[in-house]
Amino acid sequence: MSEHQQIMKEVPQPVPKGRLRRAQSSRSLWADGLRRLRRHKLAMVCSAVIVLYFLLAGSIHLAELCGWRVGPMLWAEQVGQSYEPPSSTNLLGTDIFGQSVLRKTLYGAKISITVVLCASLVSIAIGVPLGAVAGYFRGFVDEIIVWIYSTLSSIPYILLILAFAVVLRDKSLLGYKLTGITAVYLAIGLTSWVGICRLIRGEVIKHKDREYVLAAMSYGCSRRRIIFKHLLPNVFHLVIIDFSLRFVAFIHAEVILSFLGLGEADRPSWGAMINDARIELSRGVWWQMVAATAAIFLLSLALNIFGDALRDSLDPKLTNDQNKYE
Amino acid sequence: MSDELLAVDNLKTYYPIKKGLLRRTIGQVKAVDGISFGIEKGRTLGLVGESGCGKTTVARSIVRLVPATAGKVVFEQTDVLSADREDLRRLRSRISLIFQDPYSSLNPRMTIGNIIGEPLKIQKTQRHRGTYFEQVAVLLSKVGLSPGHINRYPHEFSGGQRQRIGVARALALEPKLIICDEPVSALDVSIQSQILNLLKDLQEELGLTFLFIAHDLAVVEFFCDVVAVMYMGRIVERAAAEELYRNPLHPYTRALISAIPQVEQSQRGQRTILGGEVPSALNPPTGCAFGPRCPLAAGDCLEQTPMLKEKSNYKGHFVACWQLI
Repeated sequence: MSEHQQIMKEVPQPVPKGRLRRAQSSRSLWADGLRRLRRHKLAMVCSAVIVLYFLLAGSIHLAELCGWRVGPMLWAEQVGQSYEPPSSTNLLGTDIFGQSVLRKTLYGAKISITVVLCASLVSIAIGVPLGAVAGYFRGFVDEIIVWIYSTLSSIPYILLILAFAVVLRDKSLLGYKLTGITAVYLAIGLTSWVGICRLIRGEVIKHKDREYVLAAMSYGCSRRRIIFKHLLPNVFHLVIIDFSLRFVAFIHAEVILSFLGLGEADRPSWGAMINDARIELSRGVWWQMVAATAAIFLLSLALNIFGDALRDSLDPKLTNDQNKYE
Repeated sequence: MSDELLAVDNLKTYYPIKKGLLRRTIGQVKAVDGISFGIEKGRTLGLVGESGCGKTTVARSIVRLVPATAGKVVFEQTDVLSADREDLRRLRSRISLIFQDPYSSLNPRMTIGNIIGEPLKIQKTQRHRGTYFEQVAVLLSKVGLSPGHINRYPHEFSGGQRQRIGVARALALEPKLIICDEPVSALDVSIQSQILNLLKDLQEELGLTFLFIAHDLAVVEFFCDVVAVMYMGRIVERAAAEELYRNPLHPYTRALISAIPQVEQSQRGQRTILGGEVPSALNPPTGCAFGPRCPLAAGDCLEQTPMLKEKSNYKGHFVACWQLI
């Protein structure tokens, strides 16, 4: 009864105009989520790290386009003897050709970041809608989509990427010629959507018979709106988690493909550097591996923490939001 | 019959059972098997029956959340089951639903304001006054919640409050008919009475018509004008609430009513205890579905299905039983 009385007491009070107006300003899940995320300090630090990596990769792309010859763009220049250990002149030492490991590491961000970005975008763009459609409509559509991804996932991963990369190589897409490395990016994306598609499908099946979906149908929500406004926000956290975990696998895939000669084997990438380190380590040359590993580690850590915080901030249940009415 | 807002005629909803690689239909569950009733404007029809007897399927078939197999549903002179997309959308703004489980019927990632306001957005109705947010605030205060809650998420509310939110959403489009699918069975008793009183007040204020589905007979007695009792996808008895409770005819209804707990010793009558169990819907008995458990069953009962007929001398009291007609 106390609840009732409490509610009844609240009723007659008119809503202060200001509160209502403020209530109108930030209402969507994403806006609320971002607001909560901004208060998470560690996540903000991590997002700064991620932004730095992206800026680095972006500026290398830009420098390459404009032909600037500064900083990491000069990685091919010989700066010292072969296998010079780290010193004040060469902060991270040199590799077998006497090239600066620091410059190579910085330059390597370009390929790794581009791989992660392209592969993620391609596989989200394919996996999420397919999974949602399969889970929501079931029946014949579902059978076909499940058949496609079961078939894809039964083929060994490397073999599949190789096949895609070879097929896509030197083809043109939307008037843009695919060079070796772009084909690799696409190939990784085209093979890695299976996991996310399966996750989304399962989760959509779980949610689609919940009463809130029926309620939405009962007042005339279109199917598209149900999928995108009701179901996807409830399953999207899986995408975030999946990608903060999968990111390292993308970098590895690029490493393997570069090693097999399908990538951009003549330019430095973190994968290629670690690959070189296999032989170097036996000679006590550790700096190349440490530099590449540290670069991957820092990015991976930042992405994981940020992904986790983003997931939490998008779940209204996990916040204890004192400033709801601020 | 002209003042009937909703008329359901011989509604049947069968769920196919599919099996094997080719998804062949190997049988069907007759969830709703030929149901007819009408609801007059401003009145409340109660649909009662035990779990699995098809009550919810009736509700969902009426608004086409599940496809009906056969029959006719007429709402305000429009045939719902054959309505095209545009008609259906319009119909859905005039019939709304309140769901059973207030924990799953609200989208956990939408704010209360968005949950209640979404029907308004979708139907894009112009007849409402004021801005979108004013409307939502009015709806909230109508169901006894503070408009200041507009930006909160469902998990911050108790079961009773959530059900009020569900009611507010159902009211958003100013519907004529509200189908309440066990709106109080997930709530505890003190909250049940709050929600029922709220619904009653709203009915008076807005002239609403209810189809009220429940399995709690005491709730139905309090809330409904006419009561229909369902058993295995069919209506076995229908009468005005008072009449049905005072004078139950069908043996199943009698057993149900004798099972209502009574406080006073003097009101406790002879308890009718039914033997056996509800038969499988996959393989229903021939004849009267209640036949195998019925104390009166004889002759025709096990061979032919009884139709719902008005009992002589009892005006407006319909019963489906060979032994009583």
